[in-house]
Amino acid sequence: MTWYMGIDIGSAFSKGMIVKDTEPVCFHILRSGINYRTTANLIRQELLSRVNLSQNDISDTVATGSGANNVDFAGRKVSDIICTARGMNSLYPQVRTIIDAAGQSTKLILIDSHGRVTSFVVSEKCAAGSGWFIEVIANVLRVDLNEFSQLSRLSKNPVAFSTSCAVFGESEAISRVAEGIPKEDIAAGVNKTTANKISSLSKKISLEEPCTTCGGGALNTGLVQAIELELKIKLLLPPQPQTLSCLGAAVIARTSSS
Amino acid sequence: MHLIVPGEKLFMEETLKRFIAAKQSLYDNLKQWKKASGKKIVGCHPMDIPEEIVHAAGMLPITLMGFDGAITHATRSLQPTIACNILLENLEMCLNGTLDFLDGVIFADVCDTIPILSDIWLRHSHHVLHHLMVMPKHLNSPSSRRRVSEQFLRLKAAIEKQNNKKISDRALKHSIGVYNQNRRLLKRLYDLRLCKPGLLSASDVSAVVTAGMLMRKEDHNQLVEQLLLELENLPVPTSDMHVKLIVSGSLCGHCDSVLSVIDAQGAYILEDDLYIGSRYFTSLTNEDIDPIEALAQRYVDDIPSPTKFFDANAWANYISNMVIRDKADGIIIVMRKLCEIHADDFPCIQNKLNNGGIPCLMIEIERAGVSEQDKTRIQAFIDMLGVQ
Repeated sequence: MTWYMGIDIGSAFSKGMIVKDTEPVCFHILRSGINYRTTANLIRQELLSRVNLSQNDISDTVATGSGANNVDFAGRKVSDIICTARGMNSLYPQVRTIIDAAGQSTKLILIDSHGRVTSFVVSEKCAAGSGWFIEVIANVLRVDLNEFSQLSRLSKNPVAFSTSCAVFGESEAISRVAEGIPKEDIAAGVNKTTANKISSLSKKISLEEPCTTCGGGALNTGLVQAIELELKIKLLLPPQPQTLSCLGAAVIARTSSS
Repeated sequence: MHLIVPGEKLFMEETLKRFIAAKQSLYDNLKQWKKASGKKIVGCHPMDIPEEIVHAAGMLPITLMGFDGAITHATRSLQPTIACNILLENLEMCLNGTLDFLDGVIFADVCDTIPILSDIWLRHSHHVLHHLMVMPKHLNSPSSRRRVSEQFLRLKAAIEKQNNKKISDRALKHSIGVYNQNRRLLKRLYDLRLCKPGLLSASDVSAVVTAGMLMRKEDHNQLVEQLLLELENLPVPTSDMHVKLIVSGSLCGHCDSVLSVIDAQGAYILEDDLYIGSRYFTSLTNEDIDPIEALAQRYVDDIPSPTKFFDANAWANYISNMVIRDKADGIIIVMRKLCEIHADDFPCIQNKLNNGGIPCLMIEIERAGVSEQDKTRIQAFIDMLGVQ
């Protein structure tokens, strides 16, 4: 038996996974916090304790994500776009487009049947269209992301936001709260605005079906529904959408070693 | 400014440190040099200034290429909203007193906002020499070269009037020789990098070129020669596993943050088409004809540029051929936000590269830094060409 580890240090959440031969065995997710090195070590400890192994039992570790440089125990670092593609391909080889709705940015990734990236686009450097925007508005509504998602699906009349900028959007959400607009309509409005932003990003790339979504944004079913409506596509939903990148990192560790 | 002590033996790292130091301590070095030499320093706003004319007048031409600090004086109320940050950064240095040590400043109207910058500069600065060159944009007409010559003669006359001293043809030819020597040396450095990719990082090469834009060419020539001697004796590093790239663009300013990300990813740059790079030194000036005519000829016959219109496809073909000739894996194009001349040409370049099946990534930068999203793009692009 050979074990591999993938660690994804993202801007909001950090994820880790251990793969045995070709099968994912366990994963762990933590808030990234402000010390990525500590977070990476905590994830490693938790993963190893779950499978009762030591670091020496792990044949190779690949790190990814914006904080990958903090994973001192990784053999190497690979871009999260490449890792997400490989992770998704290992679960769904038929997928050709991935919409990765992550905390800091949104990425649209085109892949081939081997999980190789053929093209990609990344949202701009502002928080518009990212998970961060949704988190900001959820804070305004005093709900967690799970509740935000459920609220959004109850709306019959989503509020139209005039901006997708997280800073102006927060002010606008506060104004809508002050006007007495129901929370569900504000939540649905935010999801619709985010989906519009993703749709606009998709114009830079030729989407190929089957399409799937991942990242923390994929846990927001209201957003998934809004993207499907906006792009007129059906999205395949992986079981643990936040872990695709660390799964891909572990898969790359395995492939490189073999 | 004399950075090399005669007979001193330097190791490559030490030589490189001198380029980096010259780049980093720019203004202090220049102010000290001016005090010690009693000579004048003229700021040349990018691009296309015939520095040889300034040099021949016994003055030191330096390139104004922006800075990384806060912009507090050159606000958007002074500059049009379409002005790129290089212009704002240079204006900020003018307004906050950083460039007070300059004796003059020269502009060429390479884009629509330069004449406006020149006007604002004139109102707010105390530089004795202030000169704007109005260059022809279409260079495929028979009169183009004559009009370029006229502009260079106007510049020469303005400098002569300022210094109350004629610039002789002999002095101008000498300066052309010094600049040609600098271009040949830098070309040798680039040829060496092409043969031995990875010998120098992209950031180090950028420091070498940048330093030359900020010091006497004679000193720079000496320093580059020293570096070449050291590099030419070093073994060729193993390079098969590394992604090999061409980098193009970043007109008027540096893109060191992008180059640092490329270096950190372990990719090698084979050749570049950057302003602070090969665009600055590729073409030589004819030393056998009338010097002003020779400078005009260089301007007209220079490598394709978005500021000089011959053929809409010229720049795209030039870049595409560079990638193919060097057998690079792909190209990264760095565009300054609001650089309208680059944005105009980009669709043509993109089509050319796409049609040729050349992987291309465009990165838009605002100022010196590179965003996390752009880092992700660069890393993914390099991994796409490499690990997968």
